[in-house]
Order: sequence, then C-alpha cells, then structure tokens
Amino acid sequence: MRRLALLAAAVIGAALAGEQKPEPPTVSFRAMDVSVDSGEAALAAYQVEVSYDAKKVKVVGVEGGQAEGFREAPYFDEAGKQGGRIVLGAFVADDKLAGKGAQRVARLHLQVEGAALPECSVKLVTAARPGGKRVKAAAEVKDSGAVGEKGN
Amino acid sequence: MSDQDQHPDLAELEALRTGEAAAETETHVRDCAECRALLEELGALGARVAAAAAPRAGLLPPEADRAVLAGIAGRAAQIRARRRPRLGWAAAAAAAAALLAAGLWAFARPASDGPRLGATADIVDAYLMDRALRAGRPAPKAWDLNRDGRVDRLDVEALARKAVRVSREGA
Repeated sequence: MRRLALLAAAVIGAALAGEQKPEPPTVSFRAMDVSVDSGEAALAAYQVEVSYDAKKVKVVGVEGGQAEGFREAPYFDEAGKQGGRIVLGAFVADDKLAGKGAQRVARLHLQVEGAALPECSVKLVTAARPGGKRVKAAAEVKDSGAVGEKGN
Repeated sequence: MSDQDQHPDLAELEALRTGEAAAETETHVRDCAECRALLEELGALGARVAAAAAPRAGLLPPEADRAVLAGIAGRAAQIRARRRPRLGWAAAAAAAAALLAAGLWAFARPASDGPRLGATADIVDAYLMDRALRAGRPAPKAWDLNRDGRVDRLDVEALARKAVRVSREGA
C-alpha cells in the first residue's frame, strides 16, 4: 500500500512538473528597410526616427542601404537598439552620390518575440539636398522578410 | 538660362554652388567644361570671401570688401575676353554686379551656411561641417567638438552622433 502511494505521488509530481515547464518563446529575426523619397531633389543627408514595440522587438543590427550615397551604416545611438526608438542619420561623402527619388537608405535587423510581424513606424526628422538646403521628403519602413527563426 | 548659347549666368552658377540651382543648370554645368571651370573659380572666390568675413559676422570687413572687388575685377576681365563677340560692356557690368550680389549674399547668410552645434543640431549640420572641411574652407575653433586641438573628420562624427542621440529631447 505504501509503495502504491509513493508511485502515485511520483506520477502526479511528474505530471505537474510537465505542466509547469514553460513553452520556449518563439523568436524570429526580420529585416526592415528604411527608405527616403526626396522626389525631384537629390538627397544629400537624412535623419529619421524609427519607433518599435520595445517589449517585443530589439534592434540587433543596423546597416546601410542600397542607394549609392548611403551604403555605409548610418549614425545611430546604441541606446536606441532596445528602448523602442532609434534615430538614424547619414549624409553622402560626396555630393555627386546624392540620388533622387525613393531610395533604400538603411536596413534594420530586428529580433522579434512571437511570430507576428513587428509594428514599426518611421518619422522623417530632416532631409537636405547637396549644399544643405532642407527639402521635403517622405520616409517609409517596410518589412523585407524573415531572416531566421528560433524556438518551437 | 540667360545666355544665347544656354550658358548659365553667374547668379545661376552661384545658386548651383550653394545647392539651390535648377536641375537644368546642374545638367548643363555637368556637361560644359567652360562653366565647370567658372564654377570652380566662383567657389574659390566664395571661400576667400568667407575666410575674410569670418572674424566679424554681421559687418563687412575691409578685407572682405577688397576680396570681392578683386574677384569681380578679375572675373569681369576674363568674361569680357571669353564672350566678347556677344557680351558688351553693359553685359560684363551686369555680370560683375551679379557676382557682387552673389558674394554679398553668400557673406550675409552665415546662419544657413554654417552648421549649428547646439542642442538643435541634426545630421544636416554634420553634413555641412563635413562639406566645408572637404572643400578646404577655414574652420572656426568652435567646430573642435572633441577638443583635440584640431577640426577634422572626428568632429564631424561627434556632431553626427550627437544628432542621433536618442536621449535628446525632440530628436
């Protein structure tokens, strides 16, 4: 009888332990492209502010864009990688490299908790043409796909 | 364009130098060696004016005045020689006046020409500093942001990093 009780306790304990074991969180890595469209004006410098959900998203990498003048990684603050807001800024090393129209100027690599697409928004702080005159421009941030997944 | 053969005038070249010219002016100058040479000379003259004016913002010092006048005299003579078949004395005088206006205008706008270094500085200010250094323009001591005794690329980076700091208000 005593043996039976011990066996039952062991089985119940094992079952409880199994229930309490937490599910490993799903973590995915995504790349977000930041674009600036300066229309007919050549873009020599830009500064944007990207906001994201700090509870679910971490910026794990910042790299330059595809546009010839902005291939180098933009300036940013390391503190912006985790706080929900990161400011990116860059300028061309030579005015001849300033391009017109919509250009991908940077890419953010994000670590995202959960499988859902991260919500990010971008606000243009400033943009200028060669010579430094401020120009109107529009900024956009767009998911460019999952890079990898961990967990589950 | 104001010339018969579509060469931009000096005011338009000055606008191009400061990044405010029309796209057609930019296109023309890109393909016209003569205008490119004139633009370079105009840039050098602008730098001389800025250098002479740097010590006293707001008032035109005599040396700046002399630099502008010397530049005008030299350029007017060259323009007359180059475009004699089409440009008379009146046109050369108009060109000289345009150059004078451009020089004075360039001198009288320090706020938009130089970078801001304070709390409101953004990436465009870092760009302006970088551009001025690349052009070899004289750099004020105030630009030595990292206080290493010289104004160079490191100061540009310091200003750029300050511009993107997330702790800044309103960044």
